[in-house]
Amino acid sequence: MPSVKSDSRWLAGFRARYGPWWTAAAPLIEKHDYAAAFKDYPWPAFTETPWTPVVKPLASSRIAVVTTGGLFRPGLDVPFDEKSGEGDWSFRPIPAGAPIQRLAISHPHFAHELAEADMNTIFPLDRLRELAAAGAIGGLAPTHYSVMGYCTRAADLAETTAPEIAARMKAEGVDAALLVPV
Amino acid sequence: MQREIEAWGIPTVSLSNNPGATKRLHPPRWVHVRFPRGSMLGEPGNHDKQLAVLRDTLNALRDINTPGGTVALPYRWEAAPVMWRGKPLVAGSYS
Repeated sequence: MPSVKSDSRWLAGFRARYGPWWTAAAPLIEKHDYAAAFKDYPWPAFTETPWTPVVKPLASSRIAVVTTGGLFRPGLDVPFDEKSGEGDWSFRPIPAGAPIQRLAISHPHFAHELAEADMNTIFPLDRLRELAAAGAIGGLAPTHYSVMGYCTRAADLAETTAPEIAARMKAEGVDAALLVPV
Repeated sequence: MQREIEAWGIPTVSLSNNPGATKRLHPPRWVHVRFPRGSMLGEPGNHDKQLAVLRDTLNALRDINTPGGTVALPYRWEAAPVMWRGKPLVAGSYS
């Protein structure tokens, strides 16, 4: 598993505070009282901002997309865990050629009807293909990524899924990434 | 996620309809969109607006030259309010 390259100083403190938070929050989440449950959530406190300068023109850049909409390919991928109060920190790689209108959503915390009518509203691969055809970007990466935005276990996401996705992008020569939180 | 990808040497930009939550994460670059949760690039089927949002977002990726830089996009939601748990999502409660 690839190691974390972004500032990881928050992880130990988060893990120490997460257990007690979850003990208190679990019954509130069970009752869908999210305001009370997240009042004392141990939000990571970042002090710096990572930075990589853009050096390549967009017109020759290979772009990858990450959506947090909980998208998956029915029949090919396992859906995300919609039942757990802690959410799901796994990810689904989605090939650029996958027909996005056939993707399904497993994410219990947003209204699905808009994306179901038009997946480009949260995973704009068709629109990016049009920009590539017009010469505005170099092209789409071979692989794009879906996670489920509801995930209380931020440290697990940061230590497993995030570096794994970053390493895969690096291996596929991705020049820039677009993140679409939902 | 965005922070990690950037730290691996890949420039990133994200969309946000919740500036408060976004700033807390110190993302390298982000654009503010005023669209409800569940439809971050505008109305379903609004091809031209989706394309405009994407073009502006990619231009922001190119043009933002300080860490944490942001651009507010001018577009607004031009459809019926989105219902969530029996209530309409209205500007200010989009996320």
